[in-house]
Amino acid sequence: MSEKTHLVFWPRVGETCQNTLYWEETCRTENLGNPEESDSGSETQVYPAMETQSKLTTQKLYKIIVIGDPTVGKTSFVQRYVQNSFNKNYKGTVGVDFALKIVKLSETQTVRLQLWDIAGQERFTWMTRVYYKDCHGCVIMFDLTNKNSFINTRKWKIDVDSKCTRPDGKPIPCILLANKCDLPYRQVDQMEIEDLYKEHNFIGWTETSVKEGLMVDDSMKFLVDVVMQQDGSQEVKLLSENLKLTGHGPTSKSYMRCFC
Amino acid sequence: MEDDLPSEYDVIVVGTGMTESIVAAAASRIGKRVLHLDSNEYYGGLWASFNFEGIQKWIEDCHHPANPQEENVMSAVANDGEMLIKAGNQFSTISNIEEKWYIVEELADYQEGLLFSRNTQTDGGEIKGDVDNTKKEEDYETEKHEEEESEAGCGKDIVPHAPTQQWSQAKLKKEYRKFNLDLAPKLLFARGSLVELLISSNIARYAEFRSVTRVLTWLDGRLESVPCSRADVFATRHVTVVEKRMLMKLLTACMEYENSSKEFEGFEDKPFLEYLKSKKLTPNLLHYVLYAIAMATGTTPCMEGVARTQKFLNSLGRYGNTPFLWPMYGSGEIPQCFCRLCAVFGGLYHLKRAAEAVIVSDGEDSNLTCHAIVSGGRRLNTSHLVLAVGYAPPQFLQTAPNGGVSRGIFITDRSILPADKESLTLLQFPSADGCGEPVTVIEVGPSTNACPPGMYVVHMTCKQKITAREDLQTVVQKLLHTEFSDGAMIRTNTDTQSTQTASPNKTHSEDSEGQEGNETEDKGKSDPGSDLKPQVLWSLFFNCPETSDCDLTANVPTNVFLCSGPDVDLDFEHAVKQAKEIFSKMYQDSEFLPRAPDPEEIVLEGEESTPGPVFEGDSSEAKADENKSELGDEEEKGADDGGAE
Repeated sequence: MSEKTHLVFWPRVGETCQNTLYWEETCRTENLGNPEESDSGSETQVYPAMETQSKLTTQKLYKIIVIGDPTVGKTSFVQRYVQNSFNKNYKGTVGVDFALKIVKLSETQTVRLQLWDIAGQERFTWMTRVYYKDCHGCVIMFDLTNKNSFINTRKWKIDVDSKCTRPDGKPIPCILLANKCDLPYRQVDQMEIEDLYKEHNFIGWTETSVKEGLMVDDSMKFLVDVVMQQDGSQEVKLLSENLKLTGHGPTSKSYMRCFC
Repeated sequence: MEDDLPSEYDVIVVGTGMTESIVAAAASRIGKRVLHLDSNEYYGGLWASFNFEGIQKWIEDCHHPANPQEENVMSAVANDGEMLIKAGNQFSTISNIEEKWYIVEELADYQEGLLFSRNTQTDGGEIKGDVDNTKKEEDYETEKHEEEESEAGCGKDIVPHAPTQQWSQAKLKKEYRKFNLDLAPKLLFARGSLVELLISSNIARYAEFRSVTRVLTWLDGRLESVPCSRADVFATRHVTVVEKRMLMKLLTACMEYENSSKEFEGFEDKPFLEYLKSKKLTPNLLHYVLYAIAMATGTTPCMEGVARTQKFLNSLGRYGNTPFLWPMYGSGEIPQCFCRLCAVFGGLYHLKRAAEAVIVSDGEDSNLTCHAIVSGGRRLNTSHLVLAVGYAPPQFLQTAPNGGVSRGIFITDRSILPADKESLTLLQFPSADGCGEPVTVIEVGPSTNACPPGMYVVHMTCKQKITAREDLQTVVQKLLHTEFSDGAMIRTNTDTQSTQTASPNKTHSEDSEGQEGNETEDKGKSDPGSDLKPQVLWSLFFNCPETSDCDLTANVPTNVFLCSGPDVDLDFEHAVKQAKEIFSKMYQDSEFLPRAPDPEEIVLEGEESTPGPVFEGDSSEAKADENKSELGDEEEKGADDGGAE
């Protein structure tokens, strides 16, 4: 993985992540043996498990959305991260909202990540609020070889910020990913990305190659660390009065029973 | 974004309103290739919900509708024997838009900190934003308004117990994201067709609701709670034990009328009111049943009144205290839930893109058949075409819509009837004579994400008679304070100075005869049972055509289906019914929105069989829910679910 050393990552992973949890990933789909899998991507990052943060016992669930222009590599990114495979002809599974990745932080603690892909089909539009709702973190992706996709990241960021916020009203942590860094002809230079990242309050940015599997796990780790830090600093909303509609509920006779 | 849209579809749907979205989801769900377009850059069309910035833009767009594209190159995409019909008409045009502010643009520095500072200015400017100058706040004209009203409004007595926030336009706009303002606010009956559909299709997982916490009515010039649940009936002091018996007997009769049709003998052709009178109900009970439970009027036929009463009672006790649910983030969420399902099952979405023309040819029986649409200059072939009324070529409609809906949206600084807890309120405001169309009032607060903390949003809806503002004027005056507020003054209740300062509990009893009609005269008593009417901070009136009663099938090509816009009704029933009809015409033998699997039910190759997550942030809560759906119809669970109050 020599390429990785010269990939830019702002802020540098080591600088801001020192105090966050180290974690260990369980790549449960590691051995899928996808025939299309590229050679360089099969390596998995394994971080040494740190001592258990004993107080946390529940299994956290985080919703991470992945957005950006069509064909920048969102679905491939999700597939690479969750299944560690790259398939040029991958089509999203029909009828599924998100991919699930379980990340093991320690012996007793795991995190479930719901990776909401754009469903491939909504590529010509803004997302419905349903897609954004209650998300904890966001990946905005563009294609280094497609200037337009870079320009549009600004719109995507504004769209996210206008449609969802954390419970305390702050913006959702967003990471900016410059995909397809394995390709030779770039239309976007690093200074431009750097400026955009600063101007629009991304938590960080990095170049990635989903095809080669470069910085996919690292960038997600970085994002999830920030998500978890923020989650920990918030009051947990306990009893919500919001209703989810399930089952058939009681019969309607309660009124009639009153005085009989 | 580049245009690499495929050119062949089973169904093209134009418009992302309620009916269109349900149809799109249903077609996609059974594997049809669906393309869903909308010329707007937001979902929902006339059913949308906007944040504050969004609604400002919507108002602006209504004033300056985009010019339809030139049809120069279009003919090139039609084949021999085919005709191009230009799409789009004026039948969805919003009219009589009146936007108005009631607060200053900016608070002076000293006002920010001084909550109870006394007003020294007497000439609070009334800011008028009429049709032509809603664009920029600089454009607003300021207008002096009557000195005496301002005096009254300023209030000599400073009431320290009403510490509301001081709002300015700038302050409100800063919070623009926290608003969700509905163009077509609608409730769901807990056992209505939409709730059943959301559950049976599993689209419910995309949405969250809150229960309407109270049903109010306007009786004897004040707002009163209508007892909905058993607990309410027991708690209320307005109803005596004798009355409770009468009420229960009557409601039981309505519920069981199929079995005991004798009960209504002789009333079949008479108004519901006649029947109620025959039961010798006390006036206030009669009022509750007629206006709040049946949501009827003095002229509603008896059996319709009975059916309406049944509908209300049937939905009781499922979720929460009242029969109604309100979608979190507003009604505009619901179409989007269906759109998401459509997309997840492969439907293709493209906003900011409409159909410029429809390509048809003569088919069998001299009926026209639609082959394709022209969109973005391209020909997109389809087997079926579903159009929101507003996108249909005018000749597809037999008649132009003749009715309209009058809408009012008000951002206020407190509830119309303050309570210990934030309430979600439904109020059917009867017309002055008790026989005309009522005004539906829905008040939602910050917990539904309708607005930032410290505010409420009041929606008013009724059938259009003149203009929205004129149609709603009476109700606005009774419920809301619409004088200009300069942000510094604390209002006292000028109304109650001349009348009783009765607490809401100590009110009229059986002696309140003839309440119908007297609400118009008694100016002094017109205070809604609380200390202060809410101050309106901002308001918007508009009229929207009512297309639900148009004949949408007479003049369309055989494979084209039109969807009406929002109707005046309280709920989504019409849209659900229409969508089902359209779907069954397209795919007669297919199931309508069969249950979509939960993610955990889909086992991907190589995945472990660990149970997947449910759609909640809180995993413990999610588990509880999981149990619920597994356990199915258990009454107790459902009761817990709803009994969040």
